[in-house]
Amino acid sequence: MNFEERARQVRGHFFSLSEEIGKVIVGQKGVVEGILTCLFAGGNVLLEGVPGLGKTLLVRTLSQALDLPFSRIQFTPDLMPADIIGTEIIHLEENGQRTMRFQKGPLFSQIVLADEINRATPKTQSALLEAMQEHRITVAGKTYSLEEPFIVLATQNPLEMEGTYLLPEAQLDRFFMKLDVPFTTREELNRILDRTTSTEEASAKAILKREDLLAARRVIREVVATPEVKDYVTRVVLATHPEVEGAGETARKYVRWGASPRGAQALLLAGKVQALIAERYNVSIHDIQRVVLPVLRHRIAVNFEAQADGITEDRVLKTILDSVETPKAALVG
Amino acid sequence: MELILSRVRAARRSLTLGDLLRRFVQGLFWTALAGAILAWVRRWTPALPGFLWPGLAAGLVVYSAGMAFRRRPSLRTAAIALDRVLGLEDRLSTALYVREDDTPAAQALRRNAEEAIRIAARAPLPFPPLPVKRLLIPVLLIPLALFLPLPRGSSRTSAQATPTRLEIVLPEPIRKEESERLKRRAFSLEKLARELGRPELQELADAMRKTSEELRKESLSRNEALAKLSTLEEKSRGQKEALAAKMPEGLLKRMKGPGGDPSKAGPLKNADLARKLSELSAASGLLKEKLDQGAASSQERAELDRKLKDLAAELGKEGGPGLPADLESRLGQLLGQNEGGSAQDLAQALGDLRDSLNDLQALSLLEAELGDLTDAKDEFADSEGTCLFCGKSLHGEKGGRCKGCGALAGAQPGQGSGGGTGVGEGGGPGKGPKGAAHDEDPTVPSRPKAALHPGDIIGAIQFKSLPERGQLHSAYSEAYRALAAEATQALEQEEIPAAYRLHVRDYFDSIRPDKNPK
Repeated sequence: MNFEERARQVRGHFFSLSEEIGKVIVGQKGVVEGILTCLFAGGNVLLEGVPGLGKTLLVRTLSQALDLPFSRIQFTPDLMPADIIGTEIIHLEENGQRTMRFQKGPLFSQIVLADEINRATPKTQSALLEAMQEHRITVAGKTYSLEEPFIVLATQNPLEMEGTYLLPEAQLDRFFMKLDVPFTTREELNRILDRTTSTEEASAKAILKREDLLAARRVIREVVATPEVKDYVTRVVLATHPEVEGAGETARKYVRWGASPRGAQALLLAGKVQALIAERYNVSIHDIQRVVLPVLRHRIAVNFEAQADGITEDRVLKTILDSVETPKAALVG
Repeated sequence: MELILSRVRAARRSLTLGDLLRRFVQGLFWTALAGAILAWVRRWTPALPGFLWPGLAAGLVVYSAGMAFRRRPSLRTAAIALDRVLGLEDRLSTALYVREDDTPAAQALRRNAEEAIRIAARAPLPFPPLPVKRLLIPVLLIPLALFLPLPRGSSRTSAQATPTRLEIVLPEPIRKEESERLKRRAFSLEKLARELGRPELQELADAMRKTSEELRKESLSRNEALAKLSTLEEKSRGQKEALAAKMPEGLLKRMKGPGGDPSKAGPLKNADLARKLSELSAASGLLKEKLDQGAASSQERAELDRKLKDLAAELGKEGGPGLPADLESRLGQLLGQNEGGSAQDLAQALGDLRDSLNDLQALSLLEAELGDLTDAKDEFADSEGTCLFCGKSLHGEKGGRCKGCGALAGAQPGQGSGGGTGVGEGGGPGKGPKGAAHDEDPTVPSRPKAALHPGDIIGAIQFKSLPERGQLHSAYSEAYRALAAEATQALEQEEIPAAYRLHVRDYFDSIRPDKNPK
């Protein structure tokens, strides 16, 4: 099978998944596309939105559409790390002997829904770090590898701040994208009412196998990016740093810290997914520009001045994006 | 890949050409600025060489072409530009990037790019944008350079006026008075020119008015004023001669006087006579009209006869210019025709007579103007002016010297007041031997006499120079006095280190005439 056919298959899987999710989830096309981008690029997703927008349903539907083990963890303040990664328990053998045995937690799955992740204490949140980045868990000195593909889909509510713990920057950086779930439109809301208040119950079928997803990830990584595009990614990431020489005025004025190298990697990977979906085998500048907001918005932190002026991360990023020159733009205006 | 390469190469050519045009346009602005600055500079410097402008234009073209070629875009850059214009999402540039790559993805990419460029419509690359902000600099500076007033006292006029010879600035009252007089004359001449229908007189009147304006300039020197009046005089003379060439020879002789002596010329110079002739001419014109219409009565004819006879008498009376032979014969013919000739012949003869009279009158006016201009020149030449060096009043000495500062008329600036340096035509002793000493080695060794303190002399340099020839204008003792006074003044004014003041004084002591009899 040549590259074009493999790429065509990936596109087919992508759109099939999107369609399957669409059977259950009304609207939210951008969010679905974002989640699938993360899925195909191999990254974790953080979904942020007010309650009732279907974040949890969306993740659950995705897990149904994927023929993969799924687990859901409801994060609460009293949730302990052992509750999610597992713990060693005393096991009574048949011969009467008692041995210590590791009881795997819900993290030992392939699609993990971390619902309301900001409700757990930082200690518990940190228990996810190793699993999210390295896809392995170390307990009592023993390391357990998680089966690929492994993806964490976390949700959080931006309204209720009481009894919540902001995610530490290290953990935020491990999310490939942060997707803002917008409120539905009038038509979408009508359709939601139709679907959820009748006897008919919509559900998604499992259409993507593990092997297909892993193969798709390999194809995506083969997509070509020119040095100019890579340099553009680098310049965008550097432009978010206020301390870098030649940083723009917006970054210097409103940004507390900029995006990490992990952000640059995520930008390029997400760009590759975008290119492949657009039936191209090369990453363009526009691919990068399209994914800058979801990839970088949680990787930069705005300072107090920005908050006082009502400047959001998205606005800062848009300004930065406008200021970074595209390759040889001067030649053709 | 061939298709991609050919399209990208074409795009590169197009970009290079666009860049050439952009640079040329940009260069035009800068050249215009350079031109404006040169035009500004030209107002107070000598004329620039004629090849400058063609040279600048050629330089601009060569520079634009050279820079466009040197900085022509690479294939990758051209591919990026083409991608941008055709909306190919960097397909072409990436395909070029993986041109040598054999991976499946690279091959698929090249095929994808070829397919895309085959489908894409051929769109021309846009003209590269001009650096508008940078072009604002020449755009703003050009009017500034064109209209910026010159630095004080540095205008070309004043540079020309800066005397290489002693110049006399005409006092304001003289300039003003002559300007007014010239203006009045221009006005009356213009009026007469209109009456007579003489364009050459009108032209002269315009020139006179212009000169009258120029005479009002504050920095006008006497030489300049004389030059302007001379120009006007030449113009007047030229017109007069052109007119005289057309005049009947006999009449001209009468005007010039016997033997060409204008002082003995007849009273035809008198404007009254000319006016009288003009009136007669007008009367003749009226009669002509009536004759044309066949409405002239015998009484009117008799009246004309009488007037014509009066004219003949006027012209031929004693002390008058006399009646030139050709005019006399024409007049006789006219009179004869009047008695029995046809109306057309009479009209023709009258027209000729009127033209001749008109010419005569114009000639007379030109003569008068010429005389006035000569008078004005004489007045300027004799006028009392102001010395440019010391500001004192002086007359226009020719080759003389200003009594105030001793500046020489005809001397170079600076040399005039610095007399005694040996420059000029003086016959002074000079420093070097004359005659035989020059045959072998005409130079004379010399070395600085003053000792430098503190410290020893590290070395000495011998200067050899030819003795300056010529005659001194002033005695050595006088020159010494002037220089010593200047040195003392300089010592007081300049910041000469205290340790060196003594040496300067010693030096002047050492060259004092009584100590140094040689």
